[in-house]
Amino acid sequence: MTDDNNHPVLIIGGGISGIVCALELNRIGVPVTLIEKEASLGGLAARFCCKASEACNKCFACVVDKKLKEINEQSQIPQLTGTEITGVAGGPGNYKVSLTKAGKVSELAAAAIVVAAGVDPYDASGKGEYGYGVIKNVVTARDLEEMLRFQGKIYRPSDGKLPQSIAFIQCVGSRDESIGNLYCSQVCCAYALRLIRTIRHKYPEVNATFLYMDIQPAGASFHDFLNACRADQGIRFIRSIPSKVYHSPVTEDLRVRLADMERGEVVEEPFDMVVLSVGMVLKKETKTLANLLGLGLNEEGFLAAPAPGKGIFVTGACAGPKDIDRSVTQAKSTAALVHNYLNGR
Amino acid sequence: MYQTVYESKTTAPAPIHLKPEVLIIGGGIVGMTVARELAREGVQVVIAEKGETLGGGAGDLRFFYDRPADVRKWMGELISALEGEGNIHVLKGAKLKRLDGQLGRFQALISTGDGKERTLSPSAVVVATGCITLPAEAMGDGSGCIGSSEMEKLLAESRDLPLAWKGQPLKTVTFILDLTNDDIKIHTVNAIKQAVILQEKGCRVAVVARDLKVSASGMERLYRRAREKGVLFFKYDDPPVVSRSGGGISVEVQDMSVLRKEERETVSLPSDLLVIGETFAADPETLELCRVMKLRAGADGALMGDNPQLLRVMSNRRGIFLAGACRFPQVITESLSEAHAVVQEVKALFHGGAYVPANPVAEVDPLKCAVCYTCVRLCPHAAIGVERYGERNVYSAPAEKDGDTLWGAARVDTAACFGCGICVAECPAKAITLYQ
Repeated sequence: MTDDNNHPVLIIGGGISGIVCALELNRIGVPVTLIEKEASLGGLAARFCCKASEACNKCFACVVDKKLKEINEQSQIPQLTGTEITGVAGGPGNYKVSLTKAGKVSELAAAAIVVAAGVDPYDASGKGEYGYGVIKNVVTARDLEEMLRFQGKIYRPSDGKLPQSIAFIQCVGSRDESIGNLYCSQVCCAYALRLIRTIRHKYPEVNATFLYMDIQPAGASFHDFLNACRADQGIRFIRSIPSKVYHSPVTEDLRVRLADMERGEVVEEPFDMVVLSVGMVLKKETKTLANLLGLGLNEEGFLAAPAPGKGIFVTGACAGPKDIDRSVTQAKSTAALVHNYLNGR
Repeated sequence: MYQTVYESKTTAPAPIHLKPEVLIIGGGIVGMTVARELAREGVQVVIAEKGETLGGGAGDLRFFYDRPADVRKWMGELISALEGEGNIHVLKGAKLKRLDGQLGRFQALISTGDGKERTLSPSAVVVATGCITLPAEAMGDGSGCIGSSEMEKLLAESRDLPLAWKGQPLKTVTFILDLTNDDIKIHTVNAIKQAVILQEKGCRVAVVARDLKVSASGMERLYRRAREKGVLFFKYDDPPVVSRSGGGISVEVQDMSVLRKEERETVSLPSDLLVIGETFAADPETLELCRVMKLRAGADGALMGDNPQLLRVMSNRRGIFLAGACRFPQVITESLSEAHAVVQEVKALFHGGAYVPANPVAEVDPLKCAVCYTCVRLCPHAAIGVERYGERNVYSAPAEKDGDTLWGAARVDTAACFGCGICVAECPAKAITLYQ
């Protein structure tokens, strides 16, 4: 299919999936162009912090930095940042894609299109009972990651003090039919427990409570990691999803209402800070993109796999929740499939 | 800031020619997928399968959890696609006895079922040996209790027939999960999938688990469908008690859906049949293979495990890749994603037909080398060997080759070196330098 033209493969999305897919296609001599609507590459995962404690906890956040460095410093891959797609014409093997950058419109011919549009963290203010956006000391896990990554410390937003007790509420925006998200986001148990281990390592005096439904494993080393978490006296595991977070307007201390099966009653536990482990949702603007490309959504609300032969591929978390490790593996496999397609298979 | 440790060198190392030949160890779905994809790229592939049939661990499966297709039919198609492919040669009853050499010029000695031995010289090797399953300890003497794969067979055989177990109609089935392998979600996925089929056939099903591992695409929906159909789910902190009396089996479990302790009861689940997932364990033969191939295995025997630096499919040796359950047992789609990632790695390796190191490479000064083997033992990438090639050094006795006098010294293979610098730091004679 590429015999008569040498159009690049267009990769939509400069997060970890798009970057790896671009680098991998580049390695096998396939020309690519990477499009990112933000001003720089990196996407969601580039804002995650290293979650090591005594040793590496296999969060793969450093892989994102490494791949960013590789694409920016060691490759000649054309990057169109601050660019959005406004139209798609043509057909398999020869798509004509209209691009808009700062009001300027241009057109690009593409031999194939890879959609790696990524996801957004669930907007926790949708769960009003937890008070995110209203109560100062209720933050999302993403806020906590950014605190650790960019400020190197954790603190209560209300007074800047180190919280002594933190509750992690799992499944915020996941496994929840009331908000229409009847799927597991697959990454939150692992990232929350890794954050807890990091915090416990950095601040041994801080206690954490992990409020969950079911613990979802992640990867080959999870068994030992989970055992280490269970052995840690400073981490309490409670199988209960809280119904409400209250706060004192004076002290900004929090009370979390939950069913404690150990005690056999509904209790209100005091905490200095609450962290909401938010799940993944497809970005709103990705739906517009899906319409332009004629892509459907699967029943979980992520991008469905396009029909084979269309020359359109979907990879990364926009096809369903994925951690960095799985996104990288899938991006590599997508590169192999794109190459097959270009060779007429 | 790191550049200062490198010496620069004017002569670049010679490129290593890579002929497109790959040895795949293991003929399961991962090995077969890699073989098919590479063969279509024109790569000559040899699959070394230890058994007499292709299919591997996934051969125990009959149903996909996420699509209505028949696993056997799908696998049959994969196997016949392989057989019709001229670039693939399958060795059955095969065992890798030795692996010498490095990327681009491996020498693999393989014995086959017919008692013959042959030497292959692949450019790259893919390890896809899978894992083994052991009967769960909790199965006791096995009476009235089967593993997940046996239930799969039972369901496949009674597709259009009423359910029966040992001639008796099957009315109640209880699954007990998470007694082992609490980090692997395969059993939760299989149990919920099987529970839905059983319940549809009029059986009463209960699933007793520590955690319902629904972190796979579509699993939360399948879990809800199972509950809607009437499958009972119980979660435990302490494993449930199984009692056998009067030929019947009963599983006692605390009903944790009741909040108040005084109202909480122990529920007794009478079961015609108990299903306990087999334990996934590292294959001892794979561990032996690790020794032969100088690959790293984790404490639990998983190859490489999670390695953020090498990512999933690369091993500690350049030109050796791994995928599938020998690294970590996963659902099929996930293992196949790894298989395609290996295909991509091999394609990238062979692209251009030769390997030129992109990283700094260590080099031993044979005049300084004391042949102490420190670097040979420490190299994580099995890149260093001792050869008789050096000029005279003070430590070593000479040897003759083609009439020339040669002295022993360590030599770093440029293709295998990752440029980590461990040998440079550890060499007592300071005989090793990193060159960019």
